[in-house]
Amino acid sequence: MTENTDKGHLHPLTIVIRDIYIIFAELGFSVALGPELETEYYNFDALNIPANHPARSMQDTFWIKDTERKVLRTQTSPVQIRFMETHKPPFKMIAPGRVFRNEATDSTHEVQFFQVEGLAIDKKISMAELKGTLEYFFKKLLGHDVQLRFRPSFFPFTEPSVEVDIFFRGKWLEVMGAGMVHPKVLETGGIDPQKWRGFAFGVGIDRLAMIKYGIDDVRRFYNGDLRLVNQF
Amino acid sequence: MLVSYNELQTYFVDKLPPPEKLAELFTFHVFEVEGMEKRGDDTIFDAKVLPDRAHYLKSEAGIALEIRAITGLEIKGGNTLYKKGGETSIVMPTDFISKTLGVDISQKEIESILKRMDIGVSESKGELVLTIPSYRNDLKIPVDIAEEVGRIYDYEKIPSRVFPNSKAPINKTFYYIEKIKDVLVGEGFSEVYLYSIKNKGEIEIENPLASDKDHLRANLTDGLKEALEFNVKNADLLGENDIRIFEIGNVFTKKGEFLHLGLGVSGKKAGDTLKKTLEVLAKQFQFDTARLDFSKGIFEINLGDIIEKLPEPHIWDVAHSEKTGIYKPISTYPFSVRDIAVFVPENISIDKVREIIEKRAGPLLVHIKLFDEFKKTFPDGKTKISYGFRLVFQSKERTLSDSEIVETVSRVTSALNSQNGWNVR
Repeated sequence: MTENTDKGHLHPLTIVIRDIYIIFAELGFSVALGPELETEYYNFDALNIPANHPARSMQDTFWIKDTERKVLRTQTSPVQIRFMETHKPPFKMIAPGRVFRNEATDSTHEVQFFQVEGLAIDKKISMAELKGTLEYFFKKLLGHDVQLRFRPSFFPFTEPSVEVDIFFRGKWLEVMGAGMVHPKVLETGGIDPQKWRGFAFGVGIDRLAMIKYGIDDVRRFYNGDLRLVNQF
Repeated sequence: MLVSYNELQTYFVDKLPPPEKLAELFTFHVFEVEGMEKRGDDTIFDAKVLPDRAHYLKSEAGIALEIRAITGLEIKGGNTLYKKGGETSIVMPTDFISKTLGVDISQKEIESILKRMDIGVSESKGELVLTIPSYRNDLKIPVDIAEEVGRIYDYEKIPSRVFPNSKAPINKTFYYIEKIKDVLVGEGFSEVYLYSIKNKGEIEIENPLASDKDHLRANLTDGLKEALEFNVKNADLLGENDIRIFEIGNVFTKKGEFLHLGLGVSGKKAGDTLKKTLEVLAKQFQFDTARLDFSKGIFEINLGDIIEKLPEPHIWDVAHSEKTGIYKPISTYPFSVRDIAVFVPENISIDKVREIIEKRAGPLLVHIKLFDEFKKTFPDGKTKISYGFRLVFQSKERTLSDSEIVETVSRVTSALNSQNGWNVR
């Protein structure tokens, strides 16, 4: 009888996260991880999203019962705030991790997904470095023919804020939000906005994996189905 | 927010760009146009106005102002939103906008853009002093102005500058998580990511999406059990003798949030497989397997504690392979299994036999696996090899009928038998 001596398979999200890590590591970005169960402060207030601000409705949040204002994090930006508090600039970092949104599920929406957020702080950073970094990233991840463009948008934690689209396999796709870190957020993180500036971005890894590999339904990532995983 | 092209035109002396062009200008300079609908000779835009501009942009007059800002077209009778009085001012270094955007924009051009937004610019003691009209009291700090200038100037004109290559410190937890994954893959385990929100746990959600998804998972075991059962049903389709899965993820108890490693193995030899695998892990990652229980085929351990005791890594030596190719959609229709065994002359390879089977069976054959192989010497002195294959049939479009499968197997059998000296058992 033949034994099962074959190798196993990494989950496609792991493969994409590793790819992302290697690309940013080339540019000097380090990785930081943080808790999935976060405080309201780190998930909202520190990111310039105070209570009753309409921006809070931009993200559907899971709140935890019987605690002092805890949430399942809706983005990995809390990790960036914690990083700013404990590291002196200049630095560049990415924060990959699981995030949660309280919204109805379908083929492109799940209650949990993976994000990676990036943050680069230095004396002379501008939107030109943001564009250059993101172009470098997408070309390495998806191929040299990829094009990139910015569209005006709004996030409470960046100003200016942009939506980032990429041109891939014949279509323009919205993939990411980005911008220059808002001075209030820098101050909250203990960084002097008169001396330092930086950019930040956030991208959904599930979406990138679906774009790169042609996977049709985001829910397949989380039901433990090896008919997906074993293809990788 | 819905707005009519014809209504907007009434604000302007000159002809507006055609609707498609106007939508494009909006999208690249102020807001996303989520939809356009033709109604008679009019076009209705669905503008996605975000919270930061809601106070002045959720009106036709406000959108007309944006058209002026973007195109420079003059508004009939001036700006209806502009009221004298209540102006505020913002002071910034003269090069602030250029430094933020990363492109040199002349002061002349900055003034011309801001003038179209009723923002006055003057210079005093080497700084720019901006006078902000009351209807734009959302503009409070220099970065707000950098955004106003940048979006009108055009983000396309911002150049691309890349950081030079450099090294960064390695995150210890991230490193060891990835190393452990590689060891497990080497031991035949496949990785799963399961749901953090379940129907039971120690931490409850205040506003769950569903009544059976209202707790944070306190362990990985429950999810792994379900995933094992699910995959065991598909074992033949996957071509696996036993199912081996693992997850590395966070669990939540009243004591806090912890990083756990969970393993699950199916089948009668599960306990042995787990024991062997854990011994490999324990050796490489320095933990003790003495009091661990592998008997149930599922195993879970606090990985954070283990990683804490490991040394700081200095080199990223995690495997990296380029995965390309397009994923094959999973069929929702059931699969069927048939076994076939054939005696072939000694010199015939497995690959030759497989080739014939695959060719004759066609696309309905989604998986083929060798499950048996042995040599037999016959009374006439000839030695032959028997190869036993498990064939898995499945269609992407329908449930296969028995007769279809019987017919396919029969075609394969004929093809094998027609080879010299081969016979199907």
